[in-house]
Amino acid sequence: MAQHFRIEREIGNVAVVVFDRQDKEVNTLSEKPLRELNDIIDSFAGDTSLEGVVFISGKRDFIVGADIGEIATMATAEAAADGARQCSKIFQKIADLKVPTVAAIHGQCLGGGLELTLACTWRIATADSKTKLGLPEIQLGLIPGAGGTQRLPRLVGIQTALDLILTGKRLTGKKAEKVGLVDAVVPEQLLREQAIRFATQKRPAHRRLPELSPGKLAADLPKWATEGNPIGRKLIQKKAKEMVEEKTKGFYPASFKALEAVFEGYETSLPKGLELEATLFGQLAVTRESKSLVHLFHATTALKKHRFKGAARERFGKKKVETIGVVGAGFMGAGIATVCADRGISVMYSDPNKESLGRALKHSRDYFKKKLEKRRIKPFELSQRMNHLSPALDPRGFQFADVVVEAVFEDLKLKQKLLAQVEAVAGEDFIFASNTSALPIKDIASAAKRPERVIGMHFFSPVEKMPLLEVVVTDQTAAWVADRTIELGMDMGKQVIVVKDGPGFYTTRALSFYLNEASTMLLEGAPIEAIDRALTEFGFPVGPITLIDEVGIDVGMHVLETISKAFPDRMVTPKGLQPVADSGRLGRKNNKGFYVYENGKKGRPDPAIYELMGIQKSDGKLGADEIVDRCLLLFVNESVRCLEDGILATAYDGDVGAVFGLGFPPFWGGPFKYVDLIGPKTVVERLRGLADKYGARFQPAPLLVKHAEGAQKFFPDEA
Amino acid sequence: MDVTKYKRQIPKGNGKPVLIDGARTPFVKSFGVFEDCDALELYSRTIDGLLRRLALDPQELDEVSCGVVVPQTKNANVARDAILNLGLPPHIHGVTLNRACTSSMQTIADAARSIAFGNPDLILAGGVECLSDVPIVYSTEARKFLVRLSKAKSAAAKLNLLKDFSAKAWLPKPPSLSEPLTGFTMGEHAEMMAKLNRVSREDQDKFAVESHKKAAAAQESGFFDAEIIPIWAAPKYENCVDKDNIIRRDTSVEAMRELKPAFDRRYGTLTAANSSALTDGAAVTLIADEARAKSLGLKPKARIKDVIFVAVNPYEQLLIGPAIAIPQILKRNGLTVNDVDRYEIHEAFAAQVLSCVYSMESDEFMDRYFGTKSLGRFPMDRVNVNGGAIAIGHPFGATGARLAMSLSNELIRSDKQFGLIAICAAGAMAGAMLIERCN
Repeated sequence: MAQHFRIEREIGNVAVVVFDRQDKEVNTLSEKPLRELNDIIDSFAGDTSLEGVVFISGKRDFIVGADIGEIATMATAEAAADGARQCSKIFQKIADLKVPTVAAIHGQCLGGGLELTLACTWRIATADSKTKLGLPEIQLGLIPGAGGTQRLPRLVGIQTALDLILTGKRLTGKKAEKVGLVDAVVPEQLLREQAIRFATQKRPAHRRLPELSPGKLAADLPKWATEGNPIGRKLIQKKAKEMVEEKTKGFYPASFKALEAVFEGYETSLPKGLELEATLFGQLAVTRESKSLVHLFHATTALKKHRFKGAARERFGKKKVETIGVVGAGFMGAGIATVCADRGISVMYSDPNKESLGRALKHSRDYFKKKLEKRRIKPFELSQRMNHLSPALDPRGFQFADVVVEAVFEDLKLKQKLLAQVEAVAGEDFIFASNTSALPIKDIASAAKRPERVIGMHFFSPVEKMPLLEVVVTDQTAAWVADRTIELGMDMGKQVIVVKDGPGFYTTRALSFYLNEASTMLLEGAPIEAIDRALTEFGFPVGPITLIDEVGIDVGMHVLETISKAFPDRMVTPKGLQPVADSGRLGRKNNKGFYVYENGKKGRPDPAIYELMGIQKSDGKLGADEIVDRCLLLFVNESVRCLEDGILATAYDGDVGAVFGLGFPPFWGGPFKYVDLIGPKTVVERLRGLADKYGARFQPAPLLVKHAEGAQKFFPDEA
Repeated sequence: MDVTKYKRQIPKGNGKPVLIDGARTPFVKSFGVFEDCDALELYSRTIDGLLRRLALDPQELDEVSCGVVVPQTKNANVARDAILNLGLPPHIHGVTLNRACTSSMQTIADAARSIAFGNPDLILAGGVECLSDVPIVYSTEARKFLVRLSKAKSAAAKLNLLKDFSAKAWLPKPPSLSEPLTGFTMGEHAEMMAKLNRVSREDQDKFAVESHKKAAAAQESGFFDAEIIPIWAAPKYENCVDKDNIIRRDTSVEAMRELKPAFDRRYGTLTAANSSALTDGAAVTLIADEARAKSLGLKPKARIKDVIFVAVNPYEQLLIGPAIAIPQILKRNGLTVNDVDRYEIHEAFAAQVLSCVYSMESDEFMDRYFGTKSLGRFPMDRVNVNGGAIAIGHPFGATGARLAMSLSNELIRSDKQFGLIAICAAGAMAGAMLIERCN
């Protein structure tokens, strides 16, 4: 008796197989339902009365993919490959059925779910915007393992398939129809009846691209010229490899395996291709990169269920934040407002400076204009978004702002004054959120009439691009305030971590130690480019010295001093930095920093820096490994201290914050996963080695020592 | 967004419509600083500005209405589009209407009547005109060709259509402000009225100069600051526009004398200087049931006592309507011309205002329409004390709402009781509205 599937026979002997997992809210593919599916297909094979089969979901989504937890338990490459092989075999049985099979797709149809549909005769999808088809395996450091790299190129062509496999992008039903992935797009209400209609129709002939059809010559001809012959395919392969090398900088093996699976598989038979795919999948499943990415998937999923969830429900029911006030229309304020307007949240500005408001509106319009040009939005949507932005010189109307975000410069007195102003006009349910990156929230709240309404919303610049939001709660912050703020952050499309108030919270604190160490090495004479190169080669998107230029030397110095004051025994800001700041260098923003900038483009390191700091450049004395260790291990060590101090509630917060906010290499999973992967013992040993050489700031955090002694892991449940 | 409107008790009202407050954009010359704006944007910003100024919970709003005289097809119902554009509660319904230059007097009238009918409403009534974004249309021939082309199925059928193709048909037709049933423009009609009523060039120029001087004084005293919402104009948002830009404080009769007649080159007396200019701008007022407004803590500025509309034969005097509407509304309310403390007689043209005044002062005219003697000397010192459209500008759809808000503010400023607005309109129509200051 099937638990996860229902079979409903329709008139005309069409079997409708409804996938509806009894143990989960969403349909995922794991061992048990796959076994059931296998038995169902076997029973169909012998059923001569059967005219067709429809696969449809009993849930909101079709199938969201394979069970990731199950993949993680596969200890060896062979076991993982075998899992993929099993799944592939079942799908092949679907393909081998003598009757037409139809995948009736509504909602998300991802990974293994899409691979199942690829084995069907027909795919029809709903026109609903929730319907998304894609192969996101690459985002977990994997490749599709159940036919995706084989059947998809044969169906839609190599280039379209690569686009989906290498990026993990998701297509709407309409787009999927356009590229040939689905055969029809239907209104949601008609999905089942249309699927049944398709189930009695034979597919005319085996279709394998590139075919030339008279009606679509313009689209087919270039495809035929490139993909239609082995020489063309070699050319595409070369180009694709170059592109992957450039995009991944060689850090992500899955992209290369994906190319291998697609191109090698295309030149051979389907069974051989499927076998190759399973083998490559197996190899990837046990890589450190994949484990790190899967870890991040678990981390982000876990953080969605934050510890304040539901706390605002009693007060607000289902009512979400609809209007925010933004005090200060500078670059950050404009970014926050833009993201809100983009998500349909109305924004009331308050800034006495007319020019700032003008620039902020221009900033938003430019952003939406680009989206319009890329056809992400329509002209009326641009107008709608712009009209969600209300400029004004004062906080009038803030009575109806659910949340007021202040984004003025880092001046405690000013922030306190603004808070008092907002409190004077604000309504019953207001929240005051400060977008400070380092000032303690409790200091801002100290002058508040209702300190329980004060919270930190630390966004990263540029807000439109940076995915992280660090929500900072004080001991006084009310739970409903935290809940509502976090939900607002998620509605803004941000990955939210919740941290406790303290100097530099989590991200600024960890980053400060990292940047400070880079500066220290610079003053020891290590060349700018050597420091930056060492860390970009480790996997950071930019090196620490470049990052100081990006943040602004003035801002960076201010933050380093604030943090070093809070942790004087572990951090001393090198004195030699001051002359650099005093020379009028602000970094990228005034085209003068550690690097030379021309027309906003970064050039070479400025040789004048060493003289300014009064030192000699000493090339090559410090090895790249040592540079990485000093910066990275200090980062890791401080992250662990944040967990000890309770700044971080969980190690998940730390890893997500570091990866999404600070550019920590995702293929290392974050500072805590890094410790698990390298082993706490090794980390402690290396820290102690550095402490002997450079001083007590490298002394490992007690929790790290404890982990080393007990061979404990931060994430014991993960492979 | 949760809809709460229908869940709660129907609010109690007293059936008395009041004007709470108003807001407007700066009024600016068309094809100037608002060149790249459209009516929707200007109207949306004005609504938003008023809501923020009043700190009014948008959930309380029932309706937004808007008068537009030269509409763009892309936002045919500007009022409703503005609600959605701003992200206001979707239960607020919206209507856009056209009664020429009395359009936003009409939206206020509709709001007042609905309230008097017993609906305790909160209605944003106003209007907008963005002549910078005037629709340019193709000829009927061109339109027919396009429609047939889109219907033609085969390439052959499409080619076949080309034989009817005429290049001339593709010249766009600039919009005309002429009366459809007389063929003359507003200016030409006003020119005829000047001659008929013997309004001299000198008197027109004097009237226009006065308008500018009064408006400039009001501007300097900050009188308009209570009305104006600053606008950052798309797409560059460089300048914050927060002042009307047609007002000239330093103009003079001597300077105006130099100008050539605009509508009748040989015998005419109307010039660009003694006529209102093409203007972009929006204005909106909050009209509410008095009791409901009070329960929400809103303080009314003026009570709307009466509104009427009239029309005459367009071949007679196209813009003479105010000379009928004013006596009529006085008669309905048992008031004499001197009982009203402040008048706002819309200044389409100096010649038109003066023609109306002369007519009301004329026994012959008053006898013809009312069977009475003249109203006597019209109290010109009570007319347009803060300047009029000649100086401030005349965005057709917005003028009625501007006058209603401005007159309410003026009654408070000068501590007076009754105010009367009269506006002439295309189609040989006019409207008049009587308001009374709230204490």
